[in-house]
Amino acid sequence: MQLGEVVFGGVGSGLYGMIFYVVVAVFLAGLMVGRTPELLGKKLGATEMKMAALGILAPSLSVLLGTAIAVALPEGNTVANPGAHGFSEILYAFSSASNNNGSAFGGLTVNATFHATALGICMWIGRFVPLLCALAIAGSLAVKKQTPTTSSTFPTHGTLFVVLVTGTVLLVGALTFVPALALGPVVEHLQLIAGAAR
Amino acid sequence: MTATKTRPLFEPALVKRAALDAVFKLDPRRMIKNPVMFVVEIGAAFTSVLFVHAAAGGDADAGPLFIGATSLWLWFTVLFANFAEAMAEGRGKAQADTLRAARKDVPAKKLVSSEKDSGVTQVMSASLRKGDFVLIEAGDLVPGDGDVVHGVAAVDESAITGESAPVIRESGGDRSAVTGGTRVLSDWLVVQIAANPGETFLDRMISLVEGAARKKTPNEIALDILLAALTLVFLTATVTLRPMSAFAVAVSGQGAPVA
Repeated sequence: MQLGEVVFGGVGSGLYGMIFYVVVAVFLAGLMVGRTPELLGKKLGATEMKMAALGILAPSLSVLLGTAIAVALPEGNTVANPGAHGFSEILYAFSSASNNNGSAFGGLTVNATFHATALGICMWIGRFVPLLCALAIAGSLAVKKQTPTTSSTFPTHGTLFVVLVTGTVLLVGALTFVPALALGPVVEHLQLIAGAAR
Repeated sequence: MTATKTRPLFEPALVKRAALDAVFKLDPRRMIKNPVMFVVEIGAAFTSVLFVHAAAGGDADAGPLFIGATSLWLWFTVLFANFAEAMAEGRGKAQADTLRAARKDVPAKKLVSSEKDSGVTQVMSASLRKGDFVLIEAGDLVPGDGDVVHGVAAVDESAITGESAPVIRESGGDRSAVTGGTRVLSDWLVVQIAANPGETFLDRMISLVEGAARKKTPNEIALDILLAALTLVFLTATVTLRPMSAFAVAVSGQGAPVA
């Protein structure tokens, strides 16, 4: 979920999430060799980059900021299972609200006002901001002239492209969420192992 | 361009100048033009302060050595970025100096009017102004940027374009512009000067190479946007770590919050 729902089309909206990552990956590839980046014959400019970056950022930021606010406020702390698992519950609730279908662990009381409001806002941001950004990219690309494919165009169907996009998705996802994940599921796992070994 | 020998990458004089410049560029007023590096510089300064605080015995999140190493890495990043920029600018300045040497003050034959046979006075090219008419004959250097009014001639423009074959310049049409510093090879031209000294093509080239007033290219802008977005992500992930870890500590009752 936290990768931006780009794996196997999260709930019907994975494609435009993937398009954002494709734009970023093609941009990185183009800049590394010093060419103006172009996708499907249309040159990518500052507008496309802005929209792609915003589309990737918005759900991630809403997850991180939402979780941080939830754990900082006493109203947000409605977990039934304390410890690292509780943190995982809160993190999952916000991740799911921003990126997926808004489910939550059983131990988190999400009926409370704080959570209902916060998760609602996260859903709103997580769904509509990327939608608007994708439409903006579509609109701005539609009016551009298509440049014909030459031998120096970066092929969007080769192994290199696949590796690049996968790398971008994983890298951006890891950069954003590894700290939060380290405090939640990873700590819990380590505690479990330590507990079992004792 | 004038044919310059390719400079070796690490010419000692350039490297020394660049290294010194790299430190001068740490001035926040210059760094703020590049927001991403500015954020790194702030981080480096912040961790240095933390290092001093930890080394002096205050409580810290991690051992003073770790903080010191982190702050060293950040300073190294900022300094290296500045060094690379200073090296590039230094090479540009060296090229601009070479171009300046090509800008010579040459004798010019100033005409009273646009007719070839009106009186010729010998003047220096620096005294020519916009609107003056000059006669350029075979073998003469063109004294300044202008448009051909009368005549047809072959001009050697290798000093400016590097093209070794001479080009034809004639009045009317789109081949009537001549640039100062080129040489007329045959026949004669009557040229009306179109630029005052200081605003010629060569001057503009020099100021461009020196990077005096350059707008960012679209790719540069887009790259800056991408870097700013990733920096924002990184900052958020770091900042939200504090409340998250405080929570983790509070519920597990052990360890200390990491900032």
